[in-house]
Amino acid sequence: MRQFSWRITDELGLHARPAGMLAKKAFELSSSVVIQYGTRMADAKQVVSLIMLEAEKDSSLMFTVEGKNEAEDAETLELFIREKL
Amino acid sequence: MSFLGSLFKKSQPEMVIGSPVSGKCVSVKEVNDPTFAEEIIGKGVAVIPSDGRVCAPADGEIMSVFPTGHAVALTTADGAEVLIHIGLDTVTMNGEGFDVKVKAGDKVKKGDLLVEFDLAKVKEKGFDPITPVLVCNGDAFASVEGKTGMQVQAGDTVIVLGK
Repeated sequence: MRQFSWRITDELGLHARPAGMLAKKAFELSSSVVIQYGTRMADAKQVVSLIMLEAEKDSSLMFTVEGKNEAEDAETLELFIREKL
Repeated sequence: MSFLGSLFKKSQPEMVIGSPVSGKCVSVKEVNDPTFAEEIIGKGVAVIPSDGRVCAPADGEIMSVFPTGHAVALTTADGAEVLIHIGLDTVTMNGEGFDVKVKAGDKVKKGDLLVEFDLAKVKEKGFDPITPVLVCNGDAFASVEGKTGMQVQAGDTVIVLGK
């Protein structure tokens, strides 16, 4: 299991566009990716579950990556998020 | 779907999703935003609205209403997760002109009013009011077929789901 946290920098929070981009990227990974925001959890591969987090700017998301490729997948995902979202 | 949900699920010959709004139904590929056009969020159609009444596209339960009121997600009685996204970049209107009638957890019937929005204001502010209607869990169905290139009234079938 690999974990990392990320603070949302988008003024508009995790709305459809970043949620869509994130889900698409997560879907490419063989690992499972669970996101925790406060008491809410989301499957990063399911775009609706990401939008349902209703996560706003400056809120912190905790990513948990699990699977055979978790080290590589966590690194790929974290890099993608920091560069693109 | 919950146990109770499946217990009360009605059997239907085909699973359809109605247009949430009256207007012209076009291919989602015509939407001028790659998030939708490239089907990153899901497969479906887009409606160029002729008025601002956004209604439930099928019986179901509201999963989420984005705080700004420009996007609503619901699960239909058939298990389709549908996202209705009113206009492009309308998230930046921050709720102005969007009057939300439902909240997460509400049970809705097809045709129930979900959001009333000010179409003139959306246009006046320079936003494209085109409204993608997307099935986000399309993998759960054998096919997601959009009916496009026609004028529709709210409730007219715009997506047919194959089992």
